[in-house]
Order: sequence, then structure tokens, then C-alpha cells
Amino acid sequence: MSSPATRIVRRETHSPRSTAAVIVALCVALVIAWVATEGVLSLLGVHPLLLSPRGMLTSVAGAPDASAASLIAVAVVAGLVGVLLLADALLPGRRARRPLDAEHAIVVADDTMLASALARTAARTAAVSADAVSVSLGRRTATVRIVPVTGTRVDRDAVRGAVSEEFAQAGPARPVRVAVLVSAAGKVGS
Amino acid sequence: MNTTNRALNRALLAVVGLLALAVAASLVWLLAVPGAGALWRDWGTAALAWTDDVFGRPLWTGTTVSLAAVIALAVAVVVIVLLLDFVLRQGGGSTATVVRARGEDGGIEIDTAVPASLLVERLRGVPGVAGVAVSAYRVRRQPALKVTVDCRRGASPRTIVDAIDDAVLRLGDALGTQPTVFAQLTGGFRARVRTPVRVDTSATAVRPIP
Repeated sequence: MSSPATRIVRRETHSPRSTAAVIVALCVALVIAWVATEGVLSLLGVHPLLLSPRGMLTSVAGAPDASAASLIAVAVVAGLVGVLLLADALLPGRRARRPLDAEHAIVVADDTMLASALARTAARTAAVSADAVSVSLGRRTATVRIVPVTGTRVDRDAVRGAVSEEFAQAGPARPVRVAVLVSAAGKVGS
Repeated sequence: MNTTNRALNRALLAVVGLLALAVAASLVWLLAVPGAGALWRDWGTAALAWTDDVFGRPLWTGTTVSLAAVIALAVAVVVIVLLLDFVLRQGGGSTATVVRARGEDGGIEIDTAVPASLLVERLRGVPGVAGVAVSAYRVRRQPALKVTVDCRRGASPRTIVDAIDDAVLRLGDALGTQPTVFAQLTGGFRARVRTPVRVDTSATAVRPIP
């Protein structure tokens, strides 16, 4: 049994798969309700809505007589749905968030928030406007893209150092490798 | 932080996924293996004969209702109720009470609103914080506070984390016990259209406080 802190971090950094599970559950419930309705209608001797239960069974039994194209279509759709659902069930489903080091609280930061902080540091170090920098943060890498002011040089190592230091200061569980890309074409002014 | 049963979510997805894969595999087998069609037809007629037999035994004379039909309908209703219950159980687990203490003279309960206003008051003035929202959940039967801190563009995570640490420490002093606090730092996406510092130009900001 994990402590509440580990449980909270684990649950906040991974997807609950609620949306997919709710959709699947509603679809399954709908299909069962339909089959049950058809069953009641056939017991009452009323015309079926679409297909009586016996009709469903005979059509499944008669699958070899159906056209190959329709069989292939059903197989492909079922296979895709199966692979997607199984992937959803088995993959970890990490969210773009990471825990930060704190003494009295459990802190998890969205990657967009961290990326925005890194972009500000990079912009200040490179002496460009904040809009000239974009940062994408992955699990193990951070990529800083800078559009420099025309006629000036951007010190990549300084930017890399400043961004790495800002990231380390935030106190994440594991460091990231920082890559700085300076665009070849500069921008006048900014 | 909610009480969603995630294992059950994944189990449902896995079961339905495996069923879909089984359908696909059997159709591929039917299409690809020579002689599969005849086998399929044999099994199909056998299954049809069996169901006709089972569903064809009326409970009493003059009715079409058989025991198998009653059982099948009951199972369908139970499964549908279970699935709907599963859908409605998603989320949940939030609580209104953060601290519950019993003394000799009686009990004390502290509502979520108390730590919420203390935390919001502490964190609102921190540079880089645009908004604070507080809610409480029960995690492993213990109450835990969830603080969502909406950050401005480029806000320093260290500054904000330190401010949260400090606010939580003071909250513990005020409440008498140290509650579990989970803080989530959001922002960034909408932060693009937001200024990094807040300049209040509304009339109330310049009006002297009476």
C-alpha cells in the first residue's frame, strides 16, 4: 500500500482513462439494451425493430455466405477498435505533468507552465522578446527555439546553461537535456 | 485525486478490446483458412439448434416465454445496471470537511472553506500567480487539499513552489494539524495572451481605502 503522497502523484501524472471507459460502457449497455428489446418484442410476437434475436444468430451462422468485402470491412473495423482499446488499457497514459520538489506540499506542474518559465529565461538570456522564443518540453528533452534579432548573435551555451539552471531550480525528479535551436533568419527589431 | 476506480476502467477497456480482437481474428480465420467456411456453418447450425431447443421450452402451455429467455433478460438488465453504475461512479471523492477532531467537550469539524480562504489569501499576492482554486478530497480515507495555481506567462516555478510551501506551513500552524496538500501548477497555454505582470488599471485600485 503506497502512501497518500505517492498515490496522489501517480494519479495526477497519469490518465484515468475515464472518457474511453465511459464511452465503451455506454456503447456496450446500448447494444445489450437493444438485443434485450428485440428479445422482448420477439417474445410478444411483434415485428422486430431491426433484427430479431434469431435473425442475428442466423446471420452470424451464415457469415461464410456473406461477401468477402463486407467480412473484410467488419474484420478491419473490429481489429482497429480492439487494438485501440487494448492500447488504451495497457499503455501508461502519462500526462504532460511532472512532480516538483517541495517540503510541505506535493507539487505537480503542467509542462506548459514549466515551458513558459523556461521560455522567459531563454528570452532574457538571449536578449530577444518573449514572443521570439518557443520551448517544447518532453519527458527527457527540452527544445528551445529562438528567432534572434537581426545582426546580433545568440550565445547558445549561455542560453542552454540558463535554461538548464532554471529547470533544475524548479526541482523536478529527473533533469532534461536542453537543445537550443537558433533560427538562421533573424527578425528586425523585436 | 478523485476516487475513480482506474483499474476497473482499464479492465473494461481490455475486455472489450480483446472481444473486438477475437471477432476480427475469427473473421480473418474464416477468410484465410480453406475449409473454415464449412466448419463455421456446422457450428452455426449446431448453435442455432441448441438455442431453438433451449428457448423453445415454454414455461407453461400457451406462452412463448421460456426459462432461458427469462434468465437472458434478467442477465441483460443486471449487466446494464452494473454498466450504468460504473459510468456514474467516475469522479467523486470530494469532501467538505478537512479536519475532524474530537475532544472531551465535543467534536470539531473544519470546513474546506477555511483552509481555502487562508491559502488563497496567502498565494494571491505572489508574483506570477493569476488565480488560485482550492478543493478537498479524501485520499486513503484521509482528507487532502487540492490547490490549483493558475500561473502567469513565464512565472518562476521555484518562487511559486516556495510560496506554496510557506503557505502550507502557515496553514498547518493555523489549523493545528498539517493537512496533506497537493498543488497543481497550471498555465502556459492561455498564458500567451496574458501579460507577465499584473497592472491593475481599474478605478478601485487607485481609490483610497476608507
